[in-house]
Amino acid sequence: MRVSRKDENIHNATVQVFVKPITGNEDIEHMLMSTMVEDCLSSVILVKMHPLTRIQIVIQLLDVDGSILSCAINGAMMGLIDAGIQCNKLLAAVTVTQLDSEMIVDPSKDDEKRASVVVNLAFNANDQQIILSNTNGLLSKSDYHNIINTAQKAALKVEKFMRKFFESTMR
Amino acid sequence: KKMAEAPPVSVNEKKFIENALRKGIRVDGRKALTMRKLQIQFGRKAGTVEVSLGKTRVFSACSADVVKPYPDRPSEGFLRLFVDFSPMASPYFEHNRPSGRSVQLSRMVQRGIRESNAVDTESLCILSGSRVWEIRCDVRVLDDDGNLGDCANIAAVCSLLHFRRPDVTVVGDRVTLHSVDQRQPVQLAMHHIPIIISFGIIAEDESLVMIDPNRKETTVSTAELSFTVNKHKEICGIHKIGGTPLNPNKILKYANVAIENATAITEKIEKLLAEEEKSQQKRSRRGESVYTNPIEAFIDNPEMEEEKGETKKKMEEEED
Repeated sequence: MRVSRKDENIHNATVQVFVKPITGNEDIEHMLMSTMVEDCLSSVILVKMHPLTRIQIVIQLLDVDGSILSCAINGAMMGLIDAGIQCNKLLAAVTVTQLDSEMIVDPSKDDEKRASVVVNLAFNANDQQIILSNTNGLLSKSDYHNIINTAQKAALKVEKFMRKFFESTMR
Repeated sequence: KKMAEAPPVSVNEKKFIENALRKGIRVDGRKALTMRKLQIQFGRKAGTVEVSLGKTRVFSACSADVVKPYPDRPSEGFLRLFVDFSPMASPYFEHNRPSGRSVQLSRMVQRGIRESNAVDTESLCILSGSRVWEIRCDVRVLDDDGNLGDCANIAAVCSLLHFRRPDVTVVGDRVTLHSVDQRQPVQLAMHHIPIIISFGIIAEDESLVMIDPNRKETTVSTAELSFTVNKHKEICGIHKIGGTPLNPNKILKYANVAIENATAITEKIEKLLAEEEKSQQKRSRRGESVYTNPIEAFIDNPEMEEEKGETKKKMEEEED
């Protein structure tokens, strides 16, 4: 799409992400989420291919039951693929919570509330490198490593689902 | 101005649509006065619903809050309705910057529900002069394939009918709001169900009218006519703004068509709501929580959740 004068960039496309809540106007948490998703996706989309244009991603929350950031990133990623926007990586995002020694992958809202730390991770599906890491809460270094290992395995599953979905729609 | 709202339709397509309409059929196979398939899907949370008319999709959600009423209307609650045209629906919608047409559609939906007193605002009073319910209904347009007014209105109405607000007890000056875990939440009191039915008119030599126009048909029509009616044959609003002039007799004729369709839609809505009610009862018997607290104050306080017996949120009368 055409980009407005103030957002123009003669070298790159401008990536804009809007996160819209279920009810009410956008709150600071939605603006934070949209900034995080935007920064994440800007490094993935090949912006140099479309200078002076705007790539707009709109995320409308329909029902919130935990793991919302990783859900948003996965959704945006699939939207980009469906739109045919060239990306240099496939992102797979996972949320993991930890309570004492119990790790929960893809927590629900109640799980997140009870947890001592919530970690959002987005990986490059190919080489398992971290694109986004966001933690809320207190955790030790070894816990963080364990969480990353578990999240990497979960991310593989997410990536598999994405591939299966697009391969089946291609046919 | 209308052209900037949607991708242009070629002259060939325009002629094709017109000629087909002269023979009484539409490009997607419908007759001139047949509406598209209406699908209503209720969400997990009370008051959330996704409505689709053909490819047009709209999502709606309700929330409730307790506020102070206006001093000149101490026993009336508030019903706030917002229709948001998200850029998700069409690349011609700008984020937080509604175009003239979007504002028109949103006002049409708002006025149809609020000014016809569809929701009984007096029943939203908790404590006259100090506490009333403010019900907020957010309608989000997800996909634009024409006739957003209709779809947004059905979504708003279904959302309000599906929504449950927490139960309240008033003893003297003390107001007690009951969490949904303790007391069954309450439906909103609705007087009637207003439905918007829109027509697209191509008035070249003779008036060619089509009900529920899709996006291309809307771009091609020279006038638009919308009725807000209900099944009791009451007209809550007629909107014909600009466009080619119409014969008043024709307008009345189409009002009757609108009422027929509105009645059919109202019956469908009521049927689906009854089915949803049954499935909700089944779910609650299985132990699943069916209602969620619309007011965050209940959920954020973990001590209150652990309290055995009555979980109450007490609100005291403010001292002057």
